[in-house]
Amino acid sequence: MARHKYLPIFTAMPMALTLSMTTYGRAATGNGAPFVIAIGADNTGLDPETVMNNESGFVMAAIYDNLVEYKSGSTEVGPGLADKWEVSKDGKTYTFHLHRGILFHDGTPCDAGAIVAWLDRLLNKGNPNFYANKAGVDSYVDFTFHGVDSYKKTDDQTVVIHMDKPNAEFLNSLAMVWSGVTSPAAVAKYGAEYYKHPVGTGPFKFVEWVPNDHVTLEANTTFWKGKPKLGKLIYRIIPESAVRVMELTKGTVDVLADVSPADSAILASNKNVHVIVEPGLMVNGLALPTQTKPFNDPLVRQALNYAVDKDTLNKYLFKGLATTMNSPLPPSQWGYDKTLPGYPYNPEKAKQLLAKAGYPNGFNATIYVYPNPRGYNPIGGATLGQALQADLKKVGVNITLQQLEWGAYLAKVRSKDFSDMCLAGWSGDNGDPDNFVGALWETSQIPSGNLSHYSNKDFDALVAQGVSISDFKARLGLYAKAQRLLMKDAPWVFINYASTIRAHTTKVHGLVLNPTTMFFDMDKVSKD
Amino acid sequence: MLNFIARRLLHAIPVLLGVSAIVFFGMHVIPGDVAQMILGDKATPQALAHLREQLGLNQSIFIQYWKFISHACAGDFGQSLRTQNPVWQDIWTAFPVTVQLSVLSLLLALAIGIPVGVRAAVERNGWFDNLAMVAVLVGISMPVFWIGLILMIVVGVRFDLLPISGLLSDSISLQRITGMSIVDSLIAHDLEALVDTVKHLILPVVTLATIPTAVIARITRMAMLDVLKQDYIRTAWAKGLRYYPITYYHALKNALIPVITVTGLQFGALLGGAILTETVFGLPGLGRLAVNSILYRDYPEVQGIVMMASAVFVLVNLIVDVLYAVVDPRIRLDREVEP
Repeated sequence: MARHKYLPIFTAMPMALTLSMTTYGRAATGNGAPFVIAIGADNTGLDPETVMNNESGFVMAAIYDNLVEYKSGSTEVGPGLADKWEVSKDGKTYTFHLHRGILFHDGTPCDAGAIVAWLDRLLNKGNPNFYANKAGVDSYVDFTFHGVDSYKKTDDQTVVIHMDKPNAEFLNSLAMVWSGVTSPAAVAKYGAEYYKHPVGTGPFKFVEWVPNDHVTLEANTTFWKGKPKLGKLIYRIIPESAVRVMELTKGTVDVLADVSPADSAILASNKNVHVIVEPGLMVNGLALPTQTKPFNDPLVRQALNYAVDKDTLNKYLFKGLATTMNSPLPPSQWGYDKTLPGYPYNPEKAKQLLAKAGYPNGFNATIYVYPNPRGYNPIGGATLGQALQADLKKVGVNITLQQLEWGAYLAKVRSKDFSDMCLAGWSGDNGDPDNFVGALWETSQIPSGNLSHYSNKDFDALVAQGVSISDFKARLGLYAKAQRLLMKDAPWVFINYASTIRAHTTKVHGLVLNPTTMFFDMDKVSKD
Repeated sequence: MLNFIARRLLHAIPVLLGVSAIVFFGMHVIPGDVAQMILGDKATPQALAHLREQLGLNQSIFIQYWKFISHACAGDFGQSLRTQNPVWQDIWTAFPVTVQLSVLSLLLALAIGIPVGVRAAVERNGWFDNLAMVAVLVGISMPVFWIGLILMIVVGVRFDLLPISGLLSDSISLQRITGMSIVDSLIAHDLEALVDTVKHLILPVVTLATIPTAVIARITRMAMLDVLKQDYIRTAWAKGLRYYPITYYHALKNALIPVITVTGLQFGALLGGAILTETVFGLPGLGRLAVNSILYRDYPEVQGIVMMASAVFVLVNLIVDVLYAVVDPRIRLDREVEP
């Protein structure tokens, strides 16, 4: 009979909850508060040689060091765990001299023995903890270490790596976040579970990983380059980009790792937020089937390059967050030649070239496009395809667009007998020029990387020489030639370099955006 | 009663088998090469071939399905391709988060929906009834995603009253025991964490509760209108009973059957709504896990999650049926077997 007494509880409960929140303050901020980096998706493991996704890389860059490391904000390689190194004249033997007294977070010394143990886990199938022992491993190991046939320590601070043929990309690949040096003791201790218990020598130590929620790191106070300025570093996973933006404007998050072009405009108008915009380590273009008529004529390929209005595309479709390609290398890549003229928009010249090639009335052709946005093409393949279609129509080239879902698209454009135009793009892996010119246009890369089936003996010779000599200046000369040759031969319509965008609150200092987008040098970052 | 429950559990087997077939073949119909999706566009042909081999993708789809089913029967849903953990472990980590969110939302929906429905029925066509039914219509029509973002912008950013994503502030650490942050903070006697997590849960719970609240209010009103017409209610008024005893003790009890049915169905809708709510509010629950797994083509994980969700749904339906008998003694569940 007296049950009605409880009714008020129903209505009071939500009210009580609402009141309680005003009686307790927000969690402490300012000094001692954790430094929070918002990322859009969870990492898939923190064992550097078994993953290839940025979310894992973002975290690992603060945990691990490498034998050699990128200089701040660049793709050029400088000292890391190794103070100095020598490369033999034939380019096959690398000798690394390690910095003395470095310890892993678990106390294991990072000496020559540890480096050899690390290499053995990556290169020796018989090693009980061989990195690829489990299914679905995504790895750069083959890419980085191809050709390595032996590795040994000659004393406690010296490691010698020998390869059967020279690989001049090696140093740049060793600097990738995917080549972080893992503690051999921790690898032995955790075995197949190591990816959940990462131990490196870097500025931050691993504390916990709550899947789909956050990863917490704490300062390695005995870091060999000096104590980090931050105490606690948290990578928070916030899937919705709109929510990440709100968290940054609220100040509950300090850094947004990835910012979409649309969000960049919103954030730029906020005076408490600083947006970093830099040309990314990536290229975006239209691959032309160089073995197929009429595209086998370089005049036609050059004409198409003149016919596309890249600057307008960048300004309106890419909202100013892309710059026109003037070289097959992006500006953040060492070796990039900024003096190359590129192909300024000139539809008249395009028509002349087409006429000269025997197509005064143009021709019909097909472009294959993917629907989704890609890192190097944030507006998506369908939109870009329509813009190209409109520009090419003006010079008499009538385009039919064929759209395929990403997986099917890759299968189509990478088949041997593919002979149409298709959108192409590439994000650099290791910041070595070969990773662009070699991966995208060398004859050996047909049909998977070289989508235009471009084959030029002179060019192949330059690329082959580029990876076989280790002298930096000599390589610069070779890649300068390769760039000029590619621009003249025009296997692609070279479109643009999409920008890499990162945002942080104005309280954050010392954050530098590396072209590979990884959070290197986190020991130098501070917060008011 | 036990007979009834046993029989219903047996019925669940073909249901789960059917679900498994739909999910399995559905995942395989989505275009695109699975190995390519997993390894990305930079994978070498050797790596792709190796992964196809490892995943058994070279075998016929029926053999793959048979392998999946036979392992699943032994309780083994395999290993996640994305997280590399056993599937049950990932589900077990995420499930408590969703349970906490769904249960709180359902409680909130009942706490608001039933009183609103009752009052609307009693004051039929009055101002409260009209207002409530308009609100119900709005509540049902608003997309969960949109409500969540609007609440965030207004309550979280504009007035800065509540946190907008996650389960706990970054400065608070809490030992994970059950995976339900409220329960864990109670176990740890940590008032600060409790308050913090409750603040974090208010917006997602309100968001997720919107639709069930509206549905429950509406069905309560309908059922109450039926009951309030009955003779015994008139008798109750006649003998001088007051508003609360009549509505809540005499009438509501008999109006509860449809409310229970709808609440059970809404629990299924909550699991679906949790996918959006967890994504918007960045909560590490089963819905988020499902979305991530689908995007990554993580077959074993998707299959595990869907099987889990179906099992929960079957179980909730069973509980609903049992509740019928508890609420209404006239309903005898085992009448068929014991005539």
